[in-house]
Amino acid sequence: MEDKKNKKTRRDFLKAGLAFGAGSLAGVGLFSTIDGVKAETGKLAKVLTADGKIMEVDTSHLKEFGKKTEQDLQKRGRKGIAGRKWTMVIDLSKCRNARMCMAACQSAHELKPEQHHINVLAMQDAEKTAPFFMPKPCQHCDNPPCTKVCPVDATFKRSDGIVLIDNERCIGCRFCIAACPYSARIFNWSEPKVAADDREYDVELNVPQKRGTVSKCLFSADQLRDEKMPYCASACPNGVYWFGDMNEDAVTNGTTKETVRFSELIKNNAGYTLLPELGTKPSVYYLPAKDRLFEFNLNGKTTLDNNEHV
Amino acid sequence: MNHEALPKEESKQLFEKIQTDLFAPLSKHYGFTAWIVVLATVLITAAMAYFIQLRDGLGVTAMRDIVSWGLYISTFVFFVAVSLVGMLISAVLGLLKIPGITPITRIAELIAIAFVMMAGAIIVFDMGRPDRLLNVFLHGRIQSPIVWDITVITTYIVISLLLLILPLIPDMAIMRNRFKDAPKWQVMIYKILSLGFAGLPEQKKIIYKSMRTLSILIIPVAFGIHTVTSWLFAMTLRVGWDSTIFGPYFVAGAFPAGVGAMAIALFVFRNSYNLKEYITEKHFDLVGKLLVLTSLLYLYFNLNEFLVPGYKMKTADGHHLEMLFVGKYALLFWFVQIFGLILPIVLLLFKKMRKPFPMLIIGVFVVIGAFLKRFIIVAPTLEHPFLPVQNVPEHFMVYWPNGFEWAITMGAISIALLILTILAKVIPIMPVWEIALEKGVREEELEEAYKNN
Amino acid sequence: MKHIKNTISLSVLLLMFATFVQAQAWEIPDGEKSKTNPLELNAANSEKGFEVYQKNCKSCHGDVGAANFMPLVPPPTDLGSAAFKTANTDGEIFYKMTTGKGAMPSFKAVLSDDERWAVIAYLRAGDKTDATVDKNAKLSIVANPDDKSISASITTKDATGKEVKLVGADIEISIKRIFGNLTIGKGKTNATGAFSVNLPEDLPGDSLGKATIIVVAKRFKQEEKIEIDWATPSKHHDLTAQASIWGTSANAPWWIMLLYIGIAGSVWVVIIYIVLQILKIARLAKKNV
Repeated sequence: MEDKKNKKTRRDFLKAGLAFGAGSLAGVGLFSTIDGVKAETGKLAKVLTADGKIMEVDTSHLKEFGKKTEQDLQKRGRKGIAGRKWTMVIDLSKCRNARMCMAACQSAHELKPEQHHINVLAMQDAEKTAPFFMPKPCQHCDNPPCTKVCPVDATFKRSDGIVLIDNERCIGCRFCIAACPYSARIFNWSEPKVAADDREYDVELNVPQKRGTVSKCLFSADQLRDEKMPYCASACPNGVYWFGDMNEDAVTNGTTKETVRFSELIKNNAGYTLLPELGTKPSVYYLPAKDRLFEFNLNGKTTLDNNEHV
Repeated sequence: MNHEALPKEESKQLFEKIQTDLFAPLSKHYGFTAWIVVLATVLITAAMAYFIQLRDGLGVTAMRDIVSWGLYISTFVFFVAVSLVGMLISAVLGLLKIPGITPITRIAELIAIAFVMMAGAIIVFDMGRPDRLLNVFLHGRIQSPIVWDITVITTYIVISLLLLILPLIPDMAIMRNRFKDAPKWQVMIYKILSLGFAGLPEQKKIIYKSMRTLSILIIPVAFGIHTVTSWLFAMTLRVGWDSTIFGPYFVAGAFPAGVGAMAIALFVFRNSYNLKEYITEKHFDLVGKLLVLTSLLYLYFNLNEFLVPGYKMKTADGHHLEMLFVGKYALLFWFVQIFGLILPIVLLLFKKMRKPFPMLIIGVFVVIGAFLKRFIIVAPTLEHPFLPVQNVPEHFMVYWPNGFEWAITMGAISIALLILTILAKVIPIMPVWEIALEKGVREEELEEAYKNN
Repeated sequence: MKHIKNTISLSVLLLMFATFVQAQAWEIPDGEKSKTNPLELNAANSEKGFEVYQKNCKSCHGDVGAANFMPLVPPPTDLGSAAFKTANTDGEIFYKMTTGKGAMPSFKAVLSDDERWAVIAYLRAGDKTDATVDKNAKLSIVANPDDKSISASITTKDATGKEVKLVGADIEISIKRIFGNLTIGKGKTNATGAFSVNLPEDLPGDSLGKATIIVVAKRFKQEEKIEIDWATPSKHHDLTAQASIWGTSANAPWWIMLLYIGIAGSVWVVIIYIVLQILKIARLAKKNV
């Protein structure tokens, strides 16, 4: 056991040494590490080992240090961020339909104007009830109807609660779109806004988008990886979004950066989830539109017609 | 089902006549070329449409994020429904020993095979990434109804093929011996498919026993294919699909669709193959009665499926039903219910209506009704999700299939008809040996015909 | 080129419109104008106002006096600018906060009267509160695992250079969370020069019960951190660890596998048997020859 551990450390050390060698001696200008799967090129590069020897290594074994391959991205992307359980609280009393969230989201995920990972809806529950604006991202359900039906494991739920879509796996059957009661999923019906070039596909950002595959809100899993708040939450000018880790029982406001206890925020403001009768167990909570910051105003209208909110 | 054996000479003449009649379509081609040209034209148009769809993506169709399943999926369900007839005629009626069904069993099997195969194919036409079809096998997820559907469709195809091949073995043996002067490749095919059948008692026993086993086995598998297909919808939370009776509702709906298609096929083969002596008015009467019975069953399920939520009018259910009953889908809905279901039931109660020509007309209405019914099961539900549809272009909110979808769907239908046409051209449309036995041809006559020499 | 021209002319138009909107006077009733701040202009009120400002105003108006407001059209006012402060009476500012106009929301339902007046107290006081910083102040923390308390105190040196504990100094104790610090207690040091809070039992640390406690004495520009390992360990319920219908194929429930394999398997056993039987027909034929 002890031996094995030592061996591993030694190997890691050697790797680091090689990396250093490649950077300094081969004049690549980049830090590189070993990657044993590519075909050999026959070109040799000099590298410095940990014990000070200079060795030659085939250039195909060199890889930019720190740069993640698609496989690395897939592996960590499918697993989730350890120990976290992400949650979002959306305060409807603060939303005035500024749509900064939608814009930030669309630009981060290279979406067309009609494609929404998050969509601000004008809602009115019944004829006489008050209308309100409701940002609607994916609810990242704990009993997700979408991942249930996927035939190829292309959409899946991670340990941190995020539901992702792997557009390298997706076959485009659109069963998940049919299964989602929140209409949170979109499809790339034609070429995406930004073509898929040779960029590494990051499953946590779902970029580059690909034709014939499904896309959806990812709770900005790539941002969370860097301990940053989701694109939408950071972009909101009105303090609508609270985001945090339910395991820490804390959420932070994307606008004011104020941190409060998740449980108290929900308790004191009568937080609720969307369509609870469906048993989907969302990770997104809503605070009712009480004591509003802004009056409801949709293109000058202060109430909705019957056919506008159903 | 051996009838009283005929005198020797008479039996010989009868057997010869049966063979002449049933093998005739293999060489005589009334309007065959014209029919193939029609199908090929549709097919070429469809191929061009599919090529563009492959090149430019599913965006060429009218489907969008809200209504993301459309004509393709509803056609898929329709094809699956039509294919049920194979099980109904050859298994259920066969096991129940309904007299005189032998001449129509093979037609039923051919319809089943042609349409269930295209059901599998049209799913591929609907895929955003058909190039990744293999993922279903590489990364198949056992919890997904799509994986169950693929399994059960494959199983149904295999069982239907076996049910086609088994009674074909003695026929092939007869043809192998009869058409010795045919082109070499043809003789070769007969030889292979006859499996050296020589009328040995053990060989005959295997055929009888295997057919019986398969006839029983296909019943649960056929229930499975319709039930699992219904689960593609019922396993979601969507209004109009989220129903516990969807499985039996689909099974019940498949019966009239298949029987309607059967009525059309019987009429066409009877006339174009000149088989009036074999496909008689009695058969149309039987099919007509079957259609009444199955339609009544389907009507009962429709009553449950629409009256129960319609009585309560829960919020989302209410919007959905309003759209069907009095809204934008009302015309389709009532056309389907009246012309595809209620009127056929009423008309077919009269014996006059169970004659060949009226049966053809009623069959056409039932089949068109079945096709449209599948469409209004798929599209209206998607058009009306739980949350309002906003901030998307106007054409996202409504759905009506466009030219590409119609072309590709028609292409799929024409491939199914092509499969049916070609199969009905290269193999006798009825099991010759079974017909002969039924009509009283002596066993030894058949033994002679089977003999491998 | 044409596109650029259009954009420019559009922006100019927008700007003109914006100035027009801005130029439109915000009519304030005389009775409101003459109202004065009922709150005393002291450090406590100013600090309270600062907190309200941070949560409700800063996102648009930016830091007071820094002119780093959001680039909106029309632009929000820098509330620390002399121009704003001289042009508006307390009553006017109060009225504007209360009613709102255009992009400026109404805080009538969101902030209490006192809170709104406190913001005005803060705006009027400016940064005066920070003028006197005790260079000798030193913040220290004691974390006690026994009663799960965190105690902070501030010492300074008196005229003789002797270390003394400060009484009545403002302290804020918070716990580090992923995106920010969560306040667990706020108050003044007591007669013994300490301020202490108990870490709530239901406020978890990480999975091992570790947490970072941050203590801030803003008046003294002091901030200290301490790592504790006796917080309630957080419980992570990893849903993906168990078998489920929605899980990946690796997490399929046993009963669904049983159903699938059982049903499909038994049907296929029969099919294979039939195929073998059919092949037997050919074998029998060969035997016969």
